[in-house]
Amino acid sequence: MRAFSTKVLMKIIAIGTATPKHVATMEDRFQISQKMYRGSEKERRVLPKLYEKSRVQQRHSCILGSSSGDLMERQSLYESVEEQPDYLGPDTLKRMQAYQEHATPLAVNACQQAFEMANLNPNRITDLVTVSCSGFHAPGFDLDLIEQLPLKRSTSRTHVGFMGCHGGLNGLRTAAAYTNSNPDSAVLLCATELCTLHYQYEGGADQIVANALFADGAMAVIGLPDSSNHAPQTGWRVAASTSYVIPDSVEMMSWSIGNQGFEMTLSSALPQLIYDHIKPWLSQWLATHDLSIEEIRGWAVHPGGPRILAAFQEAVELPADALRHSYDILQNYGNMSSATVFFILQQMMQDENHLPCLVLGFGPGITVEAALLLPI
Amino acid sequence: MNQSITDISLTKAATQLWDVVVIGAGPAGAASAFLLAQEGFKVLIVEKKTFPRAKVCGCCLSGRAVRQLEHLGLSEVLTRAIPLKSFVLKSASQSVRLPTAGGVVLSRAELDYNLLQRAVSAGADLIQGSTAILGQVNDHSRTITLQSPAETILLEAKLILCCSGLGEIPNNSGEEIPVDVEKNSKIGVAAIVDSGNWIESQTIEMIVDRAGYVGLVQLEDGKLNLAAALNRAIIKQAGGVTQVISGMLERTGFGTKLSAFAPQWQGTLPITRQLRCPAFPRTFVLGDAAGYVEPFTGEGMAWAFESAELVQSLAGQAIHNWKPQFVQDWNFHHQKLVRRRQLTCKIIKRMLDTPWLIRPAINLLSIAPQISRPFVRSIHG
Repeated sequence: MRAFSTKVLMKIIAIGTATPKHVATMEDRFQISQKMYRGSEKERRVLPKLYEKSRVQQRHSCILGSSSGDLMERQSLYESVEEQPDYLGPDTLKRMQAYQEHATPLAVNACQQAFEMANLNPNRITDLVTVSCSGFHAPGFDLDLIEQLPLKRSTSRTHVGFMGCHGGLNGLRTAAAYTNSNPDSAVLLCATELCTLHYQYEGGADQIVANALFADGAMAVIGLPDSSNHAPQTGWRVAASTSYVIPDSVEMMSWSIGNQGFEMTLSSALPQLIYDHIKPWLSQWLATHDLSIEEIRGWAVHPGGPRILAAFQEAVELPADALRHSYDILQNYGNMSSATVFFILQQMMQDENHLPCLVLGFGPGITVEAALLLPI
Repeated sequence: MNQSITDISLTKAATQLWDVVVIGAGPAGAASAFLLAQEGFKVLIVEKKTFPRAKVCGCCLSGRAVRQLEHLGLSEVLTRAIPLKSFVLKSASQSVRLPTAGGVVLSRAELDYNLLQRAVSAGADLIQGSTAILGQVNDHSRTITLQSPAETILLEAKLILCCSGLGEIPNNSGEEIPVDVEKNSKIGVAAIVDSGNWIESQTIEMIVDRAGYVGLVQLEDGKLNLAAALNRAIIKQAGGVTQVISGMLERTGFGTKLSAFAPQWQGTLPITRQLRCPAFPRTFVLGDAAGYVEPFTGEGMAWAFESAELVQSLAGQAIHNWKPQFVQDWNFHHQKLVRRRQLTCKIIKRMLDTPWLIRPAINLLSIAPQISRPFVRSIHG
């Protein structure tokens, strides 16, 4: 195997993931079009088809009490427009109360799984980085992690908030900065997203697609400095990361706080934009690490939607199955925002060697965040 | 009985995952929809025409068809039906009258409307005036394209019953649907004319000669229903259907001129045809859509109602847990139920197709009417 010269910013000791117990399935789209959407007749008629095109077969959601049966009886947050034609969905307060209730247990589960895998005592952690763009409260779930895992009371905290789907990569960069600057550090990175709390009852075809994609999930990464002699459970390290703001793309995507939850806008031109900009930028950056696109063996691309994946694959001229892990997580988990790429990495780590691996996410801006993972 | 039936909106149709979509609201479709809706399945019937609509074939129901309707709990659809007492078989100067029991005559406009109305009251939903086209099979359902005059929408169903009658099954799925059409198959024609008083009521008159055969029966409203299966070459020779049938009527001594009534003939495709397999993934085909052998005086109806009962017995599993095996299962059971009976009709049809056999056969029947019993039972018992 060729040697990679780039330095080690952080060793990935373990990745843990967690999802709520119950799922919304493909079959639920019919009830959603009937009872949970206020758009035009025409939009409601095509809604089942748009959900099918999203490729998301199932999505975990913290509000569900079961995975089958009447959607209105399986949860209590959302009400049916059949009985109240003017209903716009729960207000943001109600949604944030649900966030406060459900975020912590999910975050704790993901972290506990990571600690088990890492065979590391939580009291070794010096720095905690949390990530979320789907809910806020303070003291937040970071404090709950300190209480419940438990972590040392002296653990330093950093929260990466509201950055969108690439937030996990911003978190990874922050974590790697800690391990890279302090040889005695041990970092816990935890992203927790409850996107299904932000379901929107109106807004057109784009909104239907967003509603169809978003899901709940949490992930945890335990990272140690290069000098650490703790046996890593993965042979992966963070070697580098980068960001790019695509010019003239401010209008393309937004994530803002509304009266009925957080609202997303997404331009249908985004896939084309990714197609136009991504390859030159990526090639140049890889060249600074003596790598080329052809040498990348693992692609963990955030599955913002099937069209984004298709545009990316075409733009970078990847083989047909290069993004199979992204598609697989999209199909079985949906878009869990900042946690998603770590589900992909966890799956990649289970089979053959996918290193060097590129992790990529897109967010409002349009910004692209990337991380380069190499063998230790 | 004539309560109105209303369609559901396209939005309602598109925003459900249907347990069953029934394509075609004829007897096979309506009876199946009735039985499945009664069991609580979510059933949508899609019908190309708007009911009530006139239809000229199949206004006779055999005793077997009547008993089957009773068995399915649908006997009230026959409230206005007229019992049939005899069957008169004629060829040139010969004629034989055979008594029959149990069969009835009822116009298709009335019968089909009544059946559909029962299906809707049992809970089935309905969209009329729209064409349904079979689409792709997905993991848990099959897509159907619904072309309404206003818009094309996509529907999804766990099971599709194709009851679209004689003719091509509208299909956009990419799967092939092989059909066997018999060579030299006759074509079917039928018409309803205003005055029926030139034949006895409660009687089927059937005239057979080298051109084919024509059946006449008086409907419940006094009109005359004519239905014929005719040799295509002879129609060409004679210069039209009215000419052929007028000739057949005149040769057997009918005094009334058929052309005076200017009958509006409805034709069918060559009528002896059969799907090689009447089932595809998540789709069962029944009624005339599955296969058709020039049936006589009410047999087609009995097949339709019996296949509806067969659907009822297999639908539960097919809806909840579709397995590829169900294609063979349906083919097997359908074969057992329908095709053996179609064979009887095929044998009789062969005889009718063989003009030199007709005369001795009618002679034999008039000398010894008791031997007609199996014959009459097989076609009308």
